[in-house]
Amino acid sequence: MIMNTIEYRVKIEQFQGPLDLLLHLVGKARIDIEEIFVSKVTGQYLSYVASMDSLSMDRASEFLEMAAMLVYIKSRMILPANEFDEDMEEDPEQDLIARLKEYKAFKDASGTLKEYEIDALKSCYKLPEEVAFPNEKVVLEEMTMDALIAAYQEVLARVPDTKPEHIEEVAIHHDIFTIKDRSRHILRSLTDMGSASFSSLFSGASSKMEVAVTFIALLELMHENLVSISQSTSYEDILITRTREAAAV
Amino acid sequence: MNETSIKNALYAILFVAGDAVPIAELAVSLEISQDTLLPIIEDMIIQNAQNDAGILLKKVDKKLQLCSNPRYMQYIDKALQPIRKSRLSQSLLETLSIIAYKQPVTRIEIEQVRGVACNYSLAMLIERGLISRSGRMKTLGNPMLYVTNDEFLRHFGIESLKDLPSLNLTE
Repeated sequence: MIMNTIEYRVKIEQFQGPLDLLLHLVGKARIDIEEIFVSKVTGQYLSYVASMDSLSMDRASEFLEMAAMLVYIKSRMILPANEFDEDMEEDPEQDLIARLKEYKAFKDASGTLKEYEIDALKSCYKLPEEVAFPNEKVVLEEMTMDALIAAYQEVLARVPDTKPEHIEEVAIHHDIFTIKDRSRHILRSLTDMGSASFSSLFSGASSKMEVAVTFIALLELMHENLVSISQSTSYEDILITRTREAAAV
Repeated sequence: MNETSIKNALYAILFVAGDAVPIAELAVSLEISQDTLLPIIEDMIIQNAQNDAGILLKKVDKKLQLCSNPRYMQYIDKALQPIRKSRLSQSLLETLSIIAYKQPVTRIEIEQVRGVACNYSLAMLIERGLISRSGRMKTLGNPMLYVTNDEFLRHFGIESLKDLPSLNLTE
């Protein structure tokens, strides 16, 4: 068995899959595919699979599935047939033989295609050419203004009327609070006291919209470098102070 | 137009096009029937082969295209060092041959024949432009169908799928 293992230690990359490996073993044993189950090929296949040391799970599972199938077929041949087996419509043995033959047919054909390929690669083809002729002109013959208008009206007639049947009315309210107004409000609060606390800016706010717009106005003022903010300790109210630039304005 | 003019015009059209041109379109352009054109094309193909011409006419499906004579590949190599197309690996060849014979075919059907997963091969064959997706099979899960295309025919130097090597399933 150990001898066998070494004998069949062939690189897994060499084979396209379990069917390819089986064909290789059949060829090595110099037997017909039909004789596969009365030969030693099953044992050889199993010892081969056992010798695979490092293999990705994906590939290993393909080889192991086939190993299970081979063992199952062998066991069916040794054990007396039970009722369950007789009920089965497919004969796994004949099924596998048919699959092997089909695979062999395609493998052989791909071998011939390979020869075709070697020959065909000696011919060169040009890429599709972008055909551009010099001095290409568009000539409009017998074209009159009437014809043009007629053509236009034809197009209009073909285009379906896309006017919506029902237009929903949506009221768009005038913005009560603008960033400009709120900026002025902030700057005014600062002018009176030199600085103002963050919370005092929002103390008189009547709506969420006012708070939001005032906040954006504050960010805008900071961006323009007209105010600076400071905070003595965490969670303390933030102090907003006019910058020198703002004083100059 | 006499036969010589037709032949000359054919070369001119195919030279400018570069790509394969449908024979039906060539017939229309030359103002002759396809029945008249086809024997002329066959004659040209035979003549070229006899003369070992540098440029050959190649039929790809029902199209016509110019290609260089394989006989002169070594000289083209020396003169131009064109980018050589590489040959396909065994796994790509096997997958491709199954598609060629069974098309249109689903990935599952290919995998049943090969006994291995074929996602990678299919992606590579699509990338190399040798196969195309051709709709979906009207069955459970609507699997994608794969077919070979003109580039496949060119890659193996055959005119149509009828020229594929015969498949021996009885052995």
